Amino acid sequence: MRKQYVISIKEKTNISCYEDETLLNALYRNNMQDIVFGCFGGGCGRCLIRVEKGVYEIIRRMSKEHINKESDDKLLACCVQPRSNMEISIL
Amino acid sequence: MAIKGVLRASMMQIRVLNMEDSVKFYRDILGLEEVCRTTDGKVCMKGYDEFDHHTFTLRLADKPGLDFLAFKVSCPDALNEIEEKTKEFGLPYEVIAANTDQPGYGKRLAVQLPTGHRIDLFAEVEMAENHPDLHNPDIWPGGKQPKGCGATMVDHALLFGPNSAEAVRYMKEVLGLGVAEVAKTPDGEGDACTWLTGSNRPHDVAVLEFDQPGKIHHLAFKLNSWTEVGRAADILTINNVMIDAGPMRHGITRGYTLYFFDPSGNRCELFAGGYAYYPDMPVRVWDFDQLGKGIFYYDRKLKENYLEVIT
Repeated sequence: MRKQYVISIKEKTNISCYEDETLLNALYRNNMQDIVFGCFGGGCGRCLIRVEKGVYEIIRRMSKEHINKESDDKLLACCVQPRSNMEISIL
Repeated sequence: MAIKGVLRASMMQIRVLNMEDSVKFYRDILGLEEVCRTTDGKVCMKGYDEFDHHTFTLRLADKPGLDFLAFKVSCPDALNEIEEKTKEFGLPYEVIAANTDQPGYGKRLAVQLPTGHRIDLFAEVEMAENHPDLHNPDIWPGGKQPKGCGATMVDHALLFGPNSAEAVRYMKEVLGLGVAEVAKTPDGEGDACTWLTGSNRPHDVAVLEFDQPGKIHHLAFKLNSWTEVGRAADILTINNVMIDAGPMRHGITRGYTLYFFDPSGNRCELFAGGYAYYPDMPVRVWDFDQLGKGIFYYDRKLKENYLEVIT
């Protein structure tokens, strides 16, 4: 069975995200209106989030124009998969 | 040959964040052929209906976008004339020697547009090894069906940048491109977007006024028909590619179209049809408040974020 985690969106709601999908994909499936659905490829920088809590994996490169250091807590939701329950803020 | 000077937007180089994912996308899903790889790791590709050595180059970089869009010119004399006129016009350019960064290509002029984009011009290029049949031709080279969506050739790009009026003036006055259509600014005084063409396509390049330089909205490949656009949407969906808009029709150009994103977030278009442009045709004009219908002809309104999501 596909493993899934709870993603708490700060001051919003909770959604579930499968381990093998990106945070943006889960937001898209849940029809979240608070985030911009852009290129889904790490290029356009529209799905910027901040990770408040939780463990994650960056599964693809993000454009340097939008993310300077992958160690930052600011990430593109289209490039991140959860490895634990997470809390995020949509920027 | 009645068509002379700049013939078409025939080649481009884009930046990608992951080379192998991008090659799989453009080769296996869009259906381009991988022609060769350069010593510095670029991958050169082409559509099945193109004669030129290669027409689409991928370069690994830390941000996506367009390195340059290249126009093919009818002959070396026409290229020399463009060089002289470019000098007079006053845009910076450099000459790239034959067979350097792009295998098989002759001398190119690399011109820096005031929008922050580079456009290249060339007259000579080797013929591709795998080109369309020339004797009792089948519809596909050697009768072999292209992969995936079966993109036939590079078609056009939509550039976003500042000083678009000056870039359009260069492309009209120096490159001799015709203006097929314009969309006016909200006050109706200027042009927000201009669609330009070298020969019979309804557009080879479009330029939209934008505050950030050097951006692209999309790069486009050609398909043969509305049926192929629908089939392409099926193939993209089966391969879990994010579709941005369509299949649908444009009012501007009247083309059948489908937008989606490559693995690095570059927006791509598969485009079919559209009217045949001739240089005696007057400019078709769109009011700013009709741009929704111009782009999304059936919905008659702009999709949210369509003009904001760019690379």
